[in-house]
Amino acid sequence: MAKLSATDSLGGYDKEIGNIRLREVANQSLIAMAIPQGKESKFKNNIKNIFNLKMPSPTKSVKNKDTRLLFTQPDQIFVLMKRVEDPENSMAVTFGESAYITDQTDAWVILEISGESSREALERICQVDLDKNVFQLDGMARTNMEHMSAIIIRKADNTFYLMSASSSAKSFLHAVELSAQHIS
Amino acid sequence: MIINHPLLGPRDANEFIHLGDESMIDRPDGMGEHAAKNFHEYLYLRDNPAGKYRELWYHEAGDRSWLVVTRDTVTHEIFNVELARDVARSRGRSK
Repeated sequence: MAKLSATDSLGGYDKEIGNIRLREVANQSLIAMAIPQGKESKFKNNIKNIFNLKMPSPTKSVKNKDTRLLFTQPDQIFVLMKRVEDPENSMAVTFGESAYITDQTDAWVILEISGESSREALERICQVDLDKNVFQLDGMARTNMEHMSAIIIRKADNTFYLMSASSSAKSFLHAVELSAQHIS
Repeated sequence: MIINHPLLGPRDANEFIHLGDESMIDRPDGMGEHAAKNFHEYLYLRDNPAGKYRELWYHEAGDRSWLVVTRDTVTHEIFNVELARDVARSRGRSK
């Protein structure tokens, strides 16, 4: 049987639009972890022991070199980390009964928008206040852009990760790309 | 309209959908005494006040939490926003 390998949602898209760079971020694994009732402190300890990170707050992600933790809803976090093979199984072994684990890698697309005008491009499609003093470094929000669910993370001064459903990746890219073109 | 989410801060109302009266939290016991009467009231009977009203809102385009929003149906002023989970727990529910 032919050996098949998955391609990225946007085929490794990477483009400069004016002073904005928009690119697809690949080589990441995304894992959803939900905390069973009564296992909260055990889960928190596991996060500390395995990633050496504390739990993310509702509006701010926490990170180390290869891993970023995002609060997605009460009692659920996303782990965004360097791509690993079959993260669901390895995490299930490590976390045991302290977490319900789902590999979400192929369900999401990640765009990175950077450059001087990235904030101006985003403020046309994102209703969250992205002011530098409000949406601080590592800040994150779940919201929608052009009627598509999205997660936005402030990665660096003018650099943001935008995450949305891989099934509508091209529509999502179109929305962000168009907004970038409009201000260039 | 801006809703002050208790965890996430001020968020635009278009990220939310609203279900209606917060009494939906108190589902009657289907096996209990007067179950038919209680379910009839639970499903169909609502107050319709001109003034303060407690409603269930769902943060669909956000953290997917259910909220109890107290607002004025005349002025749309929002007085209080709580996590529905906390409201249910304060009434003795486990989840």
